[in-house]
Amino acid sequence: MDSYDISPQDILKESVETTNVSILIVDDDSTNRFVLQTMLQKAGHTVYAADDGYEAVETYKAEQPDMVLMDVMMPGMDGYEATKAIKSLVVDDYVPVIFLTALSDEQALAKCIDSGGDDFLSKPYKKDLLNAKLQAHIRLKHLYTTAKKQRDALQEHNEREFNEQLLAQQVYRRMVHAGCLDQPNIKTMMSSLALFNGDVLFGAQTPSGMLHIMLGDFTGHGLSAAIGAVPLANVFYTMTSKGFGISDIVSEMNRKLKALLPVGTFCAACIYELDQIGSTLRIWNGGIPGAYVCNSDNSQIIHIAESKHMPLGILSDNKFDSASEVIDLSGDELIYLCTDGITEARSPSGEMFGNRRLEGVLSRGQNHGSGFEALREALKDYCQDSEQEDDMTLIEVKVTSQDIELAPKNDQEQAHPEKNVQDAVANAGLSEELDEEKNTDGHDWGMSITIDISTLRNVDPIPLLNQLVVDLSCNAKNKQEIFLVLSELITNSIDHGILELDSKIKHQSEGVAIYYGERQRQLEQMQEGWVYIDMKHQRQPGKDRLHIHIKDSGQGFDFKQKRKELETNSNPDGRGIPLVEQLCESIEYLGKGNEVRATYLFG
Amino acid sequence: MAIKSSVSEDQLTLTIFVEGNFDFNLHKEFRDAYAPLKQPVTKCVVDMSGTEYMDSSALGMLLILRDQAELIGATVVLANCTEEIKGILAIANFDDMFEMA
Repeated sequence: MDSYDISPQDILKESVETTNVSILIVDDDSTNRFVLQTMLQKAGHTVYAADDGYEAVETYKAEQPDMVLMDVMMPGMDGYEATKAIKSLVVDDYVPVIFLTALSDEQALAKCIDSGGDDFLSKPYKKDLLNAKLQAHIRLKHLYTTAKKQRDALQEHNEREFNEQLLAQQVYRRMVHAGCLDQPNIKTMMSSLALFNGDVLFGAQTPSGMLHIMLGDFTGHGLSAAIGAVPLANVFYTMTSKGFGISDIVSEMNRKLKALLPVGTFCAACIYELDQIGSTLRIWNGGIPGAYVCNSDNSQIIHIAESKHMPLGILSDNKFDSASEVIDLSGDELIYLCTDGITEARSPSGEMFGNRRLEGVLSRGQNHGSGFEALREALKDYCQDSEQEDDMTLIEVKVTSQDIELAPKNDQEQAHPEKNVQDAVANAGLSEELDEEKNTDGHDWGMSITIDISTLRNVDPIPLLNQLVVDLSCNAKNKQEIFLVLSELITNSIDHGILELDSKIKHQSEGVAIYYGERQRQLEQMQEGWVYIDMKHQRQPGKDRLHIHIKDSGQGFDFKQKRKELETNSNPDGRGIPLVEQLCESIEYLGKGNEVRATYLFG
Repeated sequence: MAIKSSVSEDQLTLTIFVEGNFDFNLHKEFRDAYAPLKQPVTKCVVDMSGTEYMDSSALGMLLILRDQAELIGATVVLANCTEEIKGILAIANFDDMFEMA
């Protein structure tokens, strides 16, 4: 804004050069008026004259002069009254009133100032003194006008800035929304320092019903900190909805932020994945000071998920470690995440809340409600009125079985009582025949892909295949179910077929963690292995079908025996196949058990 | 001044001493303490014996210093950190990235 560039010196210089102003002379003595008027007109000013107080006020209203020369003693309304009246008409401007007076007693002069006058000029007038006084007041007037302009400009700028921020905040809120954090088992608190929050909190479910939670804390606070949250939210929600695991998600987030953020700006983050039945927690922590798993009544902290990584946006892709920690749960724990705004909140004496106090509150039992309420109370008591210094965020998640919102399958089951789960052994020949039979119906798309162990080491094919099926079938409605079917079948082939993992490992304590550790080890060490996936989509009005055929390089399994075991299953494993059976029109294991065919009917 | 800096007699080591709270308010001062970083400096020591607390923007400032140092082949050493400061560095896993002394 140009007006900011004018210094007071510039204003003074300018005012000396532009001396032409309009002046109202008020005097009941016509000779005085005439002398003054002539003097001022000669100096180049515009002059209005009034011979008493009333006329002065009227002329002021009509002509709005820049300044007033006012006689004190006049019949009718005197100079004091007229000055009060004129000054009351002036709104947000500087109109100097200079008293013309022969008075010299202090009381009378004080009265001039009291009534709103700005200066005096003693009669008889001396030309040089008069001009000097006028110039001084013209300068003051210029200063006033400039200051006013700057003030108005600043005010307007602030208002515009605020409105723009409000607007941006709405857009921001829509992009960086909290997803599914309104679920009854989740409690959150976010307290931000500025209009924009440098802390972010996301929650969403994968197509198979896993819960993803992420807490992030950007360097600094306010708009500059919040801006990075937009790409972060984008990656989180897009990838979660496609079924990617948290390792893939943090890698992508790190890549994005590394590319976008300037050096020195980054995002401390903790992201975790909770499985459908609340038995496994996978967690990745890069720079979040508080990540705790507590037992159901907050009497004990069962696990502290230490920060094992650098925050997002610092390391280049090849140095970034996306490995997560796996923790076994019993299904009713409470999981807490909080940013350093909480651990570093200060008491009035300047001491920090600290992790030890935090852990004390989370493990002292639920006399004061759950850990969430207790922690909130404790923080309030601790900080009292001291000023908040950083964005503060806290989230509590009560572990439960997530409801997977599957389309009601029961009706369909009743409608197709003959729906059979064929455990029939089929030899290779028969399976070929079946294939041809299906082909004669014609399919509108088909694909087959063989993926080698060397690729499986680095890529999870399930989200990609799922997306492909959904896009090619033009059917987003069944996305969740297709994802479940594909992921169960392909995971079985990889885990039990190629990697030869025994799900009984999961029965022991810490079993799930051991299982995933073993899986990772096998993936890295196994030299040979592949999985073949063939899919065909058949379009029939109201009866679209997806035929899935999967085969792996493994030894297979005795599916008849397994089937019996599953019927009486009370173990934490083996839930996958019954689920697929429920979702599919048919499923059959073939050969030595390393091959499966399933048909999914689109609802 | 919360930040003081000095260069060793052999001109090889630049030491930056940070006192009190190392946070965003020291942004300019910290930068001025080393910029422009020039040869023959081979080592930048950030002496934190007097640092009471550091926040994430301080971590960011250290990363910028590290970037600048890399350009002239110098190393950054974090010296005399208190237990509290070490704790903060450990949470962000910065202790792997910087030499500690």
